[in-house]
Amino acid sequence: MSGMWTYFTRRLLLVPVTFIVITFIVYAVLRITPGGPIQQLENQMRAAAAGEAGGGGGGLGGESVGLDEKARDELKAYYNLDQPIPLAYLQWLGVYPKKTRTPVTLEYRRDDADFWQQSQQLWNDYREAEHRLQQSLIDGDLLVSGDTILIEVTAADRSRFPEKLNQADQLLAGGVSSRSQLNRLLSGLGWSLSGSRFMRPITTQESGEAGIAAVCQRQLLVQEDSYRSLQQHLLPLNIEPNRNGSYYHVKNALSGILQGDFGRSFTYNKDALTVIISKFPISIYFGLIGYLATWLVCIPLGISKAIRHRGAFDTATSVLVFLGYATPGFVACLLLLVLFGGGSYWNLVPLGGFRSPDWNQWWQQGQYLTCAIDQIKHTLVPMFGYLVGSFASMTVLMKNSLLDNLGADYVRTAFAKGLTERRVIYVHALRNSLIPITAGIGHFLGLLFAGSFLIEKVCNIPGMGLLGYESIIRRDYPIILATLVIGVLIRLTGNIFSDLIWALIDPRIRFK
Amino acid sequence: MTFLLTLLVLAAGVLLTQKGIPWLFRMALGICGIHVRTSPVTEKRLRRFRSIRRGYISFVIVTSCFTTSMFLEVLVNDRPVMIRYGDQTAYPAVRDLFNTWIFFRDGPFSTFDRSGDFGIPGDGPLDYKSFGKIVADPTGSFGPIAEGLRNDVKSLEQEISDTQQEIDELIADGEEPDDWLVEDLQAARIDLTKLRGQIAELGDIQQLFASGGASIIWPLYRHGPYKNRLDLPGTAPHGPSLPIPGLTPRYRSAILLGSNEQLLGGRPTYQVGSVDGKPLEEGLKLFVIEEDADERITDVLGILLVREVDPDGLHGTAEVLAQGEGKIFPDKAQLVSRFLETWEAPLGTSDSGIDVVPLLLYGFRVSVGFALMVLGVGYLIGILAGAIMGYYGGWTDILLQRFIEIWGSVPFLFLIMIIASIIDPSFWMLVILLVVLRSWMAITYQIRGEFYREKARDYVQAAIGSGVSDFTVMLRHILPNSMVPVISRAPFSFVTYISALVSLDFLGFGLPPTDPSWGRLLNQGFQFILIYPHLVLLPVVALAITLFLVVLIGEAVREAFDPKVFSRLR
Repeated sequence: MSGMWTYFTRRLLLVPVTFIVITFIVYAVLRITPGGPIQQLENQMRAAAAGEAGGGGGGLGGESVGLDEKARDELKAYYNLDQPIPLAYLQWLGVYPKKTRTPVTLEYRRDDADFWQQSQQLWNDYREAEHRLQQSLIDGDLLVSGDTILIEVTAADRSRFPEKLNQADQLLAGGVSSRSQLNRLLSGLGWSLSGSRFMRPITTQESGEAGIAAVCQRQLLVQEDSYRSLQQHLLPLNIEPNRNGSYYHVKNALSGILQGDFGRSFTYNKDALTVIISKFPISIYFGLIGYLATWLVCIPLGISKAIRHRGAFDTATSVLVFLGYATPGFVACLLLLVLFGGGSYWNLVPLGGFRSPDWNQWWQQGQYLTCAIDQIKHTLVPMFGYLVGSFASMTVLMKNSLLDNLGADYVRTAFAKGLTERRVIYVHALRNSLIPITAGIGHFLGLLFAGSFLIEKVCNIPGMGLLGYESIIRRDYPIILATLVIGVLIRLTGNIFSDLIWALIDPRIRFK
Repeated sequence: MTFLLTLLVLAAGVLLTQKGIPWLFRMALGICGIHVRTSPVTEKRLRRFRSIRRGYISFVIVTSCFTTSMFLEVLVNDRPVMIRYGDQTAYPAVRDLFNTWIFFRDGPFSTFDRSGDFGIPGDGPLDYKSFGKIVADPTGSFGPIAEGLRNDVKSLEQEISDTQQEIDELIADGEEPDDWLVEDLQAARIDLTKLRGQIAELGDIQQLFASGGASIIWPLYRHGPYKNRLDLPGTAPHGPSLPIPGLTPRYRSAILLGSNEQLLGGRPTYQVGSVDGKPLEEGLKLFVIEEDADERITDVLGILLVREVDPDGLHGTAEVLAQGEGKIFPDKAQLVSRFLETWEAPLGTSDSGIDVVPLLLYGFRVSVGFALMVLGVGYLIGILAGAIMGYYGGWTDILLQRFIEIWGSVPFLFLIMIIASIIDPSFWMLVILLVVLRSWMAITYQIRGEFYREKARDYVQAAIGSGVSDFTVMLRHILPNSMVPVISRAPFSFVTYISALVSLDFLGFGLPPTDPSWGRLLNQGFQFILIYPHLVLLPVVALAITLFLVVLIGEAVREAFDPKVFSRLR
């Protein structure tokens, strides 16, 4: 027995390692690849802007729409994307402290009115400084980037780099396709592009002079100073301002999946774990019914195939088994929906979904029979899909395991004792041949909770599988990762659970 | 004729696969100095495999179909195998074939044939279909071209005289005409001389065509998997034109009685009535066509779908599925349900109007090729890893085992979806992903066990003792004796990989959208599930038949190589 416990301890010790490797791979893949939440947001903004412009304006309009640098940085910080990947991963895991920001409520502000009045004053100062700066920028036709003032390239600058500027002009005329090349060229000079103008930072000489550029530079300093004093003022309370005028409590604490914090879903704007758990019942419902159906069909079929091994019944049902092996579960669902979904052939089952939209109404009206029929109709197709998915392997497993046992010595002994064939098969042999199938329960746990996303997509079942699929399409990182974490955990523990059951019900099994 | 030719091609495929390729293989090995000796045990297994009829027949079918499908470009293509005009010859489909196999789609050969080189005036790409038409009927089909050229000449002459007049007026007003105007005039004059020259040549060209100086050889099926069927009337997808019960929309005609006030699903509805006295059915799709019924119908104004049928069966309400932009359905408009001739588009078209026949055939090649690649590469790596684990044992074994245990728990479909949602994988990228994430592990444990067992045997110890290198021992001595699990598992893994590809394509994370694939066809069928059952049923049938045959092979192989003998008392 001790060998077995070492085995299981080793298996259990491997779980965290496996878990960390898998989650780190996926986390890194998600972070490295472009198209995160910020890009999605920008795409949405761009699409909205293009819609407003009525598709006119050419490609140039779309380029300038989007988030400015500050907003992007703030969003990055909000989504924890500003940290390097290993650190962010540790923070996500919950073993490294993470800054969490929660908005300061108005109620909270009421408690310390003086303090907040003062901060309001500082905020107003900042806004005024900002306003003045904006006004001067407009007057001087200038731009600001970070802490420098940008001025349009003058004729003098043009004469300094005539070749490069000619090239830049050509690239500008080239439109959006040559935009990245243009940006590279300009950033080589330390310049940037605004609309169709080339901008360069003002020189120290210019900022020392009396011109409008110098005024702007000074106003910019004033603005930054006032912002900094606002920050300083709020620091003792662990509160950070942002430039839109809202305040955040900042907490530097461990907060990751180990603490049960899976992050907020971008699309549902809810806690990711809550979203996933809310999908559990539906997946479990279909998974469980599918699994029961598989048992009810495959075990009797496997038994009768084993008893009539190489007989006519065995050969005939083998065709079924092969067909089942050759058809993926979701394809079977599709086939059923085409045939019975009311399109071109029979109208027997709905096209998918968990229940009809009116279900709750019927339930309240007490039409329980209608409810039941509706529920059954919605269940049939996915159930069949799950059945087809594991039909072949389960039947063959049952058949082979029973055949193995029928050739065993103890069966010979039972026959020799003079027991009837029924008794030998159904009492002696069957009990032993059910062991491998029972042990498969653990492997099934994954399917039970997570569902098959292919079947859930085809049958439009709002379970966990569909959630995972949609979160990949929408790049909803917290949900993707939470689905992964839960899926992997269930799978890992399920496998060990399977072996454990096996070892417990079959004393002959020895794990090394 | 086509039917006979198809049979001939299939027979050639079978011959090539069963006789030619093994012979070639032996020759190639012989040249390399390797002589394949099959051991008596293997001979016996092969004999046993052949004796299992259903498995062996499936094996012949699948392998022959796959070999034949390697030549699909010259069998099923929208470009002819050969065209000849005078002393000009070109082989467009053969070039496609080479392009495919040399560089996998973006090949080194030009796919362009200049129209002017093949007797049809102009510098654009040659339209093979009209070339074929002229070859078939030189005098009749040539008229339209000549007519078109004459019309061009007319309009050009008109343009020249207009421009000339404008210039004259300007000069009369004492102004200098713009440079571009003069240049235009000159260019038009040059064009006109060219056109006149072409018309003068037309007689010769027609003579050449009529005297049999031009010929064209088409593939067996004249539509390819990349070009949409613009020649079909109506909107894609089209239902199959072969009379397949349940799939082919039956020909029905009806009449539009007038528009309804009532909206269905936000769409306008119309009242329709049966013309032929037969009752209407729900789900019947009707094309609204122009009144002009004598002509072959090409102008479709829109599509109606019958949603409700009145109790008398002869009248019903139809919702608008599609309506041509700016078109109004006239009262009493004619409605028909189908206008394809039997062999026009035998299995219909996909939602972008691509013929389903080539899609299914090329999809077969892509799926089987994909599964073979994944299987081959994956098993190669798996055998290597398993051999190292089993042969060396110790820490190598333990570390690799743990690694496989961890790697095997990666939810690979999920990970492929995440990666594919970002980089749009190509065929090879998908192969690599599937190999790296899954397929190499399929066989490793069995091979490890085999190597572990075989290493302890005397013959291996003798080989090691006589100083043979590790690599040679593994390759020459142990490996041939450890192939049974590899061979008997391969067909079942094959089924898994095809299913994986179909699933990924179905979800939209698979092959690039221009590649023909069964999964994408299934996805289209899923979107049109109520109206176009053929888009689901046809790929499902293709998939099920292929996989069924492979499973039969697998069963026979397992039976032959790794027989389980059950003994039981009664």
